[in-house]
Amino acid sequence: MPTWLEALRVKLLVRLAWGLSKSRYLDSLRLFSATEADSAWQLLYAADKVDDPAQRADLLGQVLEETHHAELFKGLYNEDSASPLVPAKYEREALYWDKAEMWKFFIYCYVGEDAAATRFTHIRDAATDPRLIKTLDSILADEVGHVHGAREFINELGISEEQFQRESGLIRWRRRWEAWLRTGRNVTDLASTGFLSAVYWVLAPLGAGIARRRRTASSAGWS
Amino acid sequence: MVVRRTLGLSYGFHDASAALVVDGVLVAAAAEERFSRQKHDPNFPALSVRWCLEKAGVAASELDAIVYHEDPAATFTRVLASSLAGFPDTRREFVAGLKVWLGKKLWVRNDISKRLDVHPDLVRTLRHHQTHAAQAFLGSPFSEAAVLSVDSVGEWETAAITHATYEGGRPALKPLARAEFPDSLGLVYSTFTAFLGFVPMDGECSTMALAAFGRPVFADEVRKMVRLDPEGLIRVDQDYFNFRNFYADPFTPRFLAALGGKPRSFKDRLPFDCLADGPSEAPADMNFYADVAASIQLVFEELMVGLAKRAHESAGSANLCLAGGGALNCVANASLLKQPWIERLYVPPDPGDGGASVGAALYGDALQGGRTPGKVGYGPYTGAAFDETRDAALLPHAKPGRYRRFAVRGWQPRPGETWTSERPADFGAVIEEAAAAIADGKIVGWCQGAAESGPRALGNRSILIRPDRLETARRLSTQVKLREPYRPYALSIAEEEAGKVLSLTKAVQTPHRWMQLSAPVRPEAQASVRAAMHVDGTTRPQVCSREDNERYHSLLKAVGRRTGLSAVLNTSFNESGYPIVGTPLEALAMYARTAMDLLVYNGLVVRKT
Repeated sequence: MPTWLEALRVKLLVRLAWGLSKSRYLDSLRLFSATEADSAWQLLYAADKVDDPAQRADLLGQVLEETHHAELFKGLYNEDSASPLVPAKYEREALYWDKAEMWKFFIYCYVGEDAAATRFTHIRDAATDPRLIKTLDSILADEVGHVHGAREFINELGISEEQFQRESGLIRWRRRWEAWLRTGRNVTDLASTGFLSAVYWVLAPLGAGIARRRRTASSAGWS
Repeated sequence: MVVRRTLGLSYGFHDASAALVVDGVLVAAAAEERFSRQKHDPNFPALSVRWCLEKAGVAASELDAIVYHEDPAATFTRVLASSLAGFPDTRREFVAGLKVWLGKKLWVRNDISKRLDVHPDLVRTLRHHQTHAAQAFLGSPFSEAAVLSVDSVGEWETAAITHATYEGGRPALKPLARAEFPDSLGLVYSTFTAFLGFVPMDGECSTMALAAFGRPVFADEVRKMVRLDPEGLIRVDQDYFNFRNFYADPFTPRFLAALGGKPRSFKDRLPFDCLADGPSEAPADMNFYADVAASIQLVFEELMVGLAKRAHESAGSANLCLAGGGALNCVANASLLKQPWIERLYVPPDPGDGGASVGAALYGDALQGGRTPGKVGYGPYTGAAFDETRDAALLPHAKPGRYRRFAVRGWQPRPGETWTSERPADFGAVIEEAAAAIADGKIVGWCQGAAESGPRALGNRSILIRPDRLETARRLSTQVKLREPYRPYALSIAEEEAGKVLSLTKAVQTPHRWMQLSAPVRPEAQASVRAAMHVDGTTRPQVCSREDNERYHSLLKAVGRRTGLSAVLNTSFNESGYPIVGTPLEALAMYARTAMDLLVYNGLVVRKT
């Protein structure tokens, strides 16, 4: 997606969707927090596969940064929400399981952090809440550092420019494909909500009597 | 000789876990949260399965059975019936429930088969409370027992009484009575937990802790909501509760009217401090919440005693095994042990759903072959162990100055702080260093060997301080654990000296060894363990013998040589909202963020200078 279009999309999200629906805004913060926590986990996993002690120490610093970011988003959520943030729980799956593939992980970090920095910049530019702007400024500084850090890691591993370009291209396609799948899932989710709602209004009256006789939560008072 | 390999799985609700039994022996068990770093992780426990199989050197294709902790079809009927019964107000619940169940949860057999690349016929299911009964009984030292399991809900069952024995060397679990949804004592307790501003299915321990600050003035009101029933064990008046839509809106107007107050916002600070001398001075509205907590806790204890009495009478046994989330309430457990008709009590290391995989694996395995009473038992140290050598190598490259920004709120490292590390020649020297630091008022992170299963840190993933130092405990709460001051800490004490501190009416039992019972502290000993004591004069002890945990016992004795009492305040090695740490790197990450003074990981000692 062209940058200007992405910026417009984010602006609409921030100004319209978040402005009209606080729960949408809170959902986004919850998602950001979970994504940062997932990044911390991916780095922890990667650190276990890296042998160089200096690189491992560096990864420890990045784990702390990502954890800190997750906490910052959690703090924003808790300030605005009536109930405390219950973190979204992803099924953890390492981006790359094998030690031999860890160089790809650092390229993925480079691509992912770059995309995140771009996205957060758009949000920051569209945001009006000073607390959110301050938080994003702090996070953005780190994310830019991660992009540089990942590039340094890649250089230290002796990855050629050609390899880097090829792999980062593949990763970008992979991320687009994942985004496409997410969109597909959202559309399916919407469709199934419609379908099941129709089923509910048509069939539930028939089943309600039987279900009530089974003593479910609808039964009032002592039975 | 044929070797049987059985994998137990629990996932889909909360606290997913995996356990592996090889030829009747539990060789590995761990909750997914310890690998995924997501507290109460409900997802398929892919990482813990992977670890279990790796530890035993077993391929998934070599498994003889995979046993899942509940019957998904039966649970689906409950979800469906519950949402249909509320027509026309339950469209959201119906749609959300069907999406999750038809989309995923109903097809557990295929899901597991696909993920592990095994034939679907290898996957078996047990009833959830049957799993709990197995988890409680098969780990116990008893040859027969009454088993009581209480939780929020399984398929339909919310509580069950089972008579467990061995017949012809094989375990026999005979169901005697059960309560069914929506009559759920667990959900009643969780509803009060939500009312008190805590997260249900997580904050129940906070409700229990808060109860000690209140008076049970609403107990009669709570008794109107839930009571023992001669037929169905537990009856809940549904006019007070909305279990159908539990997470969104669990209480009804009648519930609120009965208590005469509004739910507490999680942002309202509870001004209670278990380290303070004398009663806490709290405004009336906050005392109200403490009184509500005391009321539900009292009624919960009464009902647990009533249920246990039913179990004792119907099974005709003086041995009682407990399981389910209800068994995590150590104050109620202590009430049970006070009853003259209970001679011996057993609670498994992880009695909740995190341990359900153990029950599934053990019982599934037992159904395939014989079991000898007393040989199946297992302890709490079934989790993953890690080597610290590689992480010792990274320490010279660590940059504490860079980590300053990520310090927890309430603590800032000294400017110019550095880390030094050493690996003493033998573990005795490590113990002496840690003991000296504890005696000197330092906060010590202590990791060794295999991680504990369950929510209690029992000396393998613990943070330790002197139990008589209130100021150190406050520093621990505000600069390490970020823990609310109304929540008490636990005590580890060497078995030889337990009698000096604890006032026990019965002999030390397994739950005393695993922090599953609260126990009164002798008045003359209270000053010596004040920081690990609640305001009601009780503590949650880990009575540790050399046989239980040799290294940790040695540490306690080493502390005793310096302070006069072989005891420490012991709290789990995690920050608020995170699971207990596993790997050395995770421990180092917490060490970097907090005011912990010394970190011991196996033979590695790290200190801030």
